[in-house]
Amino acid sequence: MPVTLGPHLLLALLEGVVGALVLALTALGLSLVFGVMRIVNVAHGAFFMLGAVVTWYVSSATGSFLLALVAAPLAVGGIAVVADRLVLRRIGYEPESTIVATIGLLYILEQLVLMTYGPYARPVAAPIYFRIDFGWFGYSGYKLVVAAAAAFLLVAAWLALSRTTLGLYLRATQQDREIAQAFAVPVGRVYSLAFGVGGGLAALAGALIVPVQQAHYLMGLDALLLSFVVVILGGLGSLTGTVVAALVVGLADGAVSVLFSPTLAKIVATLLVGVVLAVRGRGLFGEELA
Amino acid sequence: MTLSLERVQAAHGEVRVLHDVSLEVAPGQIVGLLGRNGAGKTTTLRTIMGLVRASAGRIVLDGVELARLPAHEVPRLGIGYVPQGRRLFPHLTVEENMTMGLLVRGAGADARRDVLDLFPALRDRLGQRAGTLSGGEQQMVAMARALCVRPAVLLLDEPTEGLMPTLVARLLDTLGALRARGVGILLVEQKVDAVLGVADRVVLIENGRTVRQATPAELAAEPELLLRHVGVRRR
Repeated sequence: MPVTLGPHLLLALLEGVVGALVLALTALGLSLVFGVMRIVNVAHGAFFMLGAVVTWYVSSATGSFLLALVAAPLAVGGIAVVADRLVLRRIGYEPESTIVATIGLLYILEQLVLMTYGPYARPVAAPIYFRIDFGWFGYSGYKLVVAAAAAFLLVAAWLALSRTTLGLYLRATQQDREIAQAFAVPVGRVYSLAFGVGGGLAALAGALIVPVQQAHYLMGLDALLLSFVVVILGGLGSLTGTVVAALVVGLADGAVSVLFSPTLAKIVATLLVGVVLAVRGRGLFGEELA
Repeated sequence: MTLSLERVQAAHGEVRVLHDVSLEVAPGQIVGLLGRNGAGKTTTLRTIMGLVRASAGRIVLDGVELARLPAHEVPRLGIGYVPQGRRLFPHLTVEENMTMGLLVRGAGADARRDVLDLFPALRDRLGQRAGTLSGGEQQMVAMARALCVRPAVLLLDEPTEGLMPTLVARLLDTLGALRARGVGILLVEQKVDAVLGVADRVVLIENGRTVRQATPAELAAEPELLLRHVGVRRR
């Protein structure tokens, strides 16, 4: 019986694009935090997971997915701001200490979710349901809506960073924290904001994807790994690099997952980082936020 | 607005760099701060800006004690700063660098136009990233960014560093124009002749202590002062 590759490739492409855009949104938060604050946030995957869990709670309680989509990033962003004020600020944003502190934050958040939400993977109904017929197969319309929403949010983030005063302050702080202060930028507040927005972006990605993936207390680990892969590959602190690397990794992940296996996809992504770092130590796009 | 420092002390970590610094900058006055390398000139400016914390003494601008304020509040009182090595935001455009200055005190289009009138060459560079400019152009942007604050007091740290003589002369002319507008200027500079040519008063600093204040004419009459405290012999 002849095997046609077309449907597999199309499915891989669709899965890759959806995964890539959600990944770009998740990784953007990590990139923002590293770019502005110069810290590695190991708890970023936990923020992604919290976004999904809060979405489950809110949509279960109110029946409104849209309300959950607003509540999740606000709640998680708020938690991130509190963590910044209570923990990161007190240890002076010292790079090694913040890695240990955010590992601690990751475990605290995961265990709190395990204690309250439980070890179950719980589904959240998609707010809209339709299928698009590609001839060989039908494809979830909601997944394409997720991709479009993620793309819209990425453009909005780029506009906010490149066209607003707040974006100017974030970029100036990234480039020279001390001189930013000499031009009246309240760097402490900018740091809290960056950490809050970073957490909020991860939560938003988790909220968007939960009708497809289900909410589970360990779901942040893959998100964290792939976000690190993307941020390192794209160049630490570069928004453009983050988006380009997310597209490369997401498409590769989608294709290898569909055609071979998801485990092989993660191995390929990790190898990709190794190769890029060996050839170009600062990643694809260097050192710039927008 | 008069800026005054009274017996200021400051340290980098455990190492005390300023032991006893006193000086005053009145409106429309250029005060030169001269001393050997490591004497504490740059630290004095950084301490005024709140980037290094004063551990003792008083820094007062128009009755407000600056040392008690968070660093980001200091420029809002009307202090513009041109740091050593320019330290522009290299990935921001010239326009965005200037906007950083304009936002400090909410200065508007008038301030932007005035500054561009002082540095007309920047009009063609507004969309260019500051880090890609030549050294002279970067110095102009550093000055423009600080002037966009509409400062009552301007702190300049080695503004002529790396500039061609013609640009140095233009920069000194600009300082004269700012003085005429009533801006008080504290000028740290290695080029002693440049300072003596433009300053109304010179403060000598040695090992973190201000040791002498004099007019350029007095220093010209006592050249051994410059030799002793700055290590420069004038012909």
